[in-house]
Amino acid sequence: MTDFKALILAIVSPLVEHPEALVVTPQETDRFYEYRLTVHPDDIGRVIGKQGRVAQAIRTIVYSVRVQGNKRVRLIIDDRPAKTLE
Amino acid sequence: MTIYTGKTEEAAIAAGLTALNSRRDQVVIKVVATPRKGWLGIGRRDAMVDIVLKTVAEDSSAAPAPESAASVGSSTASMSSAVASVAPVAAAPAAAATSATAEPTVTPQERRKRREAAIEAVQDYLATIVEQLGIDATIDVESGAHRQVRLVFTTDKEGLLIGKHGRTINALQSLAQLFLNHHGAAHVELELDVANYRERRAATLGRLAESTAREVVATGKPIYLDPMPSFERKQIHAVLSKNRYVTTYSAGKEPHRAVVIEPA
Repeated sequence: MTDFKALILAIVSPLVEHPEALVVTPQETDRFYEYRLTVHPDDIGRVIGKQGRVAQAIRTIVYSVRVQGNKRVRLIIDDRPAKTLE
Repeated sequence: MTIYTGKTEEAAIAAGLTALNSRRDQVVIKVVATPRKGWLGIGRRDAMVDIVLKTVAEDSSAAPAPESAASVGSSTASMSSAVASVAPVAAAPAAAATSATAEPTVTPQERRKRREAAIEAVQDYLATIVEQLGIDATIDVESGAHRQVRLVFTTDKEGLLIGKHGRTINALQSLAQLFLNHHGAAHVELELDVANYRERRAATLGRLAESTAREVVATGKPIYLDPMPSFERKQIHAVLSKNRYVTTYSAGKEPHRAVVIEPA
């Protein structure tokens, strides 16, 4: 099985200002392999992009990997810090 | 060194010239203080100019005057003090030329170097992603016209890399474009290609455009095509721009933006 954690980091880390703050936490639920991506608060916009364009592209690539079994991969970008700022 | 004052710089200079009984090109003028209007007369300040007779112009007659004026002009321009308003015309273009040549001689080369470095880096970036996807691929660079770069993948898992309707290759392309913008190579158009996919797609789009146009003319009703990325919509518009019987435009918001073909 592909190493999703490495794939996500390979895609995201060159695009952000603070690559050292990237954290990917895998989690397995009964329907999905979930990967929660946490980025530095300043980089959230960069990872999501205008109208979610960057996030969409990242997801497209991550989901294009075939996974054995009937579970699917899901990438969650954690944007909670930005929301609580208001 | 004598200081003359006036409501404006011009007025101060005029006062000084009449007092010295000389012409403009016979003196060196230096603005000491610029005028301020103040508010309701509070904080008002007169212009102060320092006017000194040129020694060369003073003891010789009118003949060497224009020459000395030019030399004084260039020296004052290099000092870049506030003499600009009185500096002779010859000084202004000279100053502009020096400031213009000083900057861009360094930057284009530097920018090109940075651009080339970024193009190298984007190949590494794409190579690592593709490797993580489990696809063996080699990347070749084809730089076409100015600021256009084509990266061609060669692999035996073409379908996997292209994805459904080119979804994966388009996503990779937009990420790579973003990478370039983020690494100091803005305004570079990047195109990724696998196994001539772009060419085949262009042919398909051309056929689709022609057949849809025919249908539009036959039924007299507009047709919405499927949502496409901007560069594919552009190809459709280009194909049908010569067609006199239909007009095209795009409608919808970006990820779902689609070409509409209408009877003209």
